Amino acid sequence: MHAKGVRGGQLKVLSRNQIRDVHYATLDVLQHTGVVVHSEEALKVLDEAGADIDYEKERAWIPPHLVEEAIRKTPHGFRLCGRNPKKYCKLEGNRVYFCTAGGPPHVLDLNGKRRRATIRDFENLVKLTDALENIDMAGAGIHGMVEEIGLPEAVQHAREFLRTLKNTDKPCGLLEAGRGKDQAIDSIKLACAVMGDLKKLRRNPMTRCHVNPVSPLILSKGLIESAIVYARHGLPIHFGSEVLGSATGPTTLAGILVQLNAENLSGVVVAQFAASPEHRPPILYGCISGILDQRTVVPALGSPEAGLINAASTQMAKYYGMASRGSGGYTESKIPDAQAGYESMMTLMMTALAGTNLIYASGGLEPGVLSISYEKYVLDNDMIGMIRRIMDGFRITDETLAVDIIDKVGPGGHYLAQKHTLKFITKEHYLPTIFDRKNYERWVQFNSENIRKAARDRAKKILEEHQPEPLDKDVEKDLQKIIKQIEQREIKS
Amino acid sequence: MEKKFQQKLVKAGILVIKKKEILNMLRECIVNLNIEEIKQTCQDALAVGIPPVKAITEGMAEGMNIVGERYEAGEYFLSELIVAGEVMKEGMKVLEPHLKKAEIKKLGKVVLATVKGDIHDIGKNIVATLLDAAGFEVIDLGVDVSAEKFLETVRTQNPDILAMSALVTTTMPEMENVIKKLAKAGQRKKVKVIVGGAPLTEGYAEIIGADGYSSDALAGVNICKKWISQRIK
Repeated sequence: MHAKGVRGGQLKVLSRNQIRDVHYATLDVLQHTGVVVHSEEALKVLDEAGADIDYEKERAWIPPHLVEEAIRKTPHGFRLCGRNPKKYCKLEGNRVYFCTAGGPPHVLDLNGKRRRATIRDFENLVKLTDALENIDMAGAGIHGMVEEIGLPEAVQHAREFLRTLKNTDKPCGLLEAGRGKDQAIDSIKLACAVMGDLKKLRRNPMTRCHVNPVSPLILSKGLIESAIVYARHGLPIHFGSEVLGSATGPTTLAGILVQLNAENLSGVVVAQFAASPEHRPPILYGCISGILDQRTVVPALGSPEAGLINAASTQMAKYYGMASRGSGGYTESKIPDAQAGYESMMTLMMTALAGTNLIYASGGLEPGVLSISYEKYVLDNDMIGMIRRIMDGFRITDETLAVDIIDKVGPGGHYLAQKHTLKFITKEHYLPTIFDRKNYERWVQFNSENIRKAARDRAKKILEEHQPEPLDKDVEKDLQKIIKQIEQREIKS
Repeated sequence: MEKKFQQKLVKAGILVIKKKEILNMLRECIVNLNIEEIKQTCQDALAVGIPPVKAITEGMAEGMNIVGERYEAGEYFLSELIVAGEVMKEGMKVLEPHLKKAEIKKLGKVVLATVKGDIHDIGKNIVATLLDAAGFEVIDLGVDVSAEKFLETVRTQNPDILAMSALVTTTMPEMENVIKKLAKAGQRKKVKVIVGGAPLTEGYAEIIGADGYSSDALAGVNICKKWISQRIK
């Protein structure tokens, strides 16, 4: 993991004027079409701020000045921490961090079989993330493991919290709460137990609220009320709009962007006007949008359009001075094959070069990321290593221009034995961990190994050998106590 | 070191350990690519009375073996392999003058070159460096070398091994030409022929009548070593 991140921002798919056009179009939508907010509490916040409200229809029309005020109130970014505050991601500016996928109920296991995920898979995948050198953040793991089907959401969520922390001290995507007030408070309690108290947690936020507006233009009760809890605690909130072009949003990419922006910003307005002036919640401006494939009727997030929308959404976040979150590493393929490689590389590279602060979803497979693959975790890790190298770009100094060395070696010589070579080889050249570069004969010698097997082997090796930094025993006890309370509350009712 | 002082050390029982230590240091110099200290360490070895042959075989050569193993395991880069060879060469500059004539005997003699029409030589140079470090006497004829020149050198120098390199596909047939000319002149049986270069394959080497082929430098050197040890048997 690389706490300082690599710098993106080289790719710009929108001009400054186009960004403004999108912004103004968004203000138009929020003022004249408005949004539906299924929460009286949130509607009150908007009402008090000065929006037009129809409580019966649960609809809010938000004037431009409120939107722009909310944008101004939002901090420039924040530091998302692991349980070890020294492991963090500075989500701001052009810094880029990579996060594994999470959430699906299936895994493609080490025998190449797709099946329902177990608790063991969950732990293994977090452990893998902890070990993979190019991954900065652990995704939400898996959700709905076989052993826990039927358990209340809040209980599953709390257990996942502890399970993740036990297997990694990197920042985590799991510690998200967006399923209602109770769970939001649970998450904050759990995170306070790790960090010490609320003040410390605010300085080192390790949990964030996750809100997916329902497209088109709806904020659901559970999600927006969770966001209000987080806002009032001054903790980060992620708004990640999930527009599907041609179905839940317009077909045109610009239209998708406007709607995505309107949905995200409506959330930002609620959050910033709900918060107290002393503790403004940082916002992660997210994009999980793409297009609907009209033939198969699935979301196509590994599509070129999704790549463009993500890059543009990142530009919008930067325009507003907010941290950005995008989707990279998506594929509609069912196995880690050529299609998976192409689609993942395309979406990872576009988000990375756009400078998306948090790039979510490497390691996942299938439309809607319905399964997670052990192999793809390892493959994407290598791919991200390559992307990091590309983003590092050229370092131009007299030493790297190498005029002296070129002169020393002269025509016809070679550079293999130069000190300059040994000094720079690992700094300037990325060496893939598993991608195969052997020539044909050597490849045959090594049993003509398929890249998937190499990925499986590395995953197995990591799982056998890797020991995550152990979780403090007292912290674990405290967390278990809180989980017990949650279980008693939920299972009784 | 003064002889008297040396004897004192021996009496004190320090020198025995010191010898072992210096052999270790020689090995470490190679493994750590320490070109700054190799010469001094070789001089120290001579000073404490380590026979130069031992300094080579039990010191530097062992270091080269470790480097070779690490390269094959993917832990060391090609550059590190080459630099290790250069470090060994530096050490040899100190030790060689102290070798007895009989000890200077090389592992074997290799003539190598890039064939006619081809001026690519980095691969060939790597092989030459590694052969040298492995203890072969290397006669490098350079690039764009004609069949006639190969033939003449084989005749006059009596090498154990002839090594040919080509990078461009269009110059590959020249290797076959050299082998045919050698046969015609009755010189083919006295040398082992090994070929290499990016476009070559094991199958092609066989078709043109070479004795060996390798897709990388270190493996090529190992083939040469194997041939020599079989000959000694």
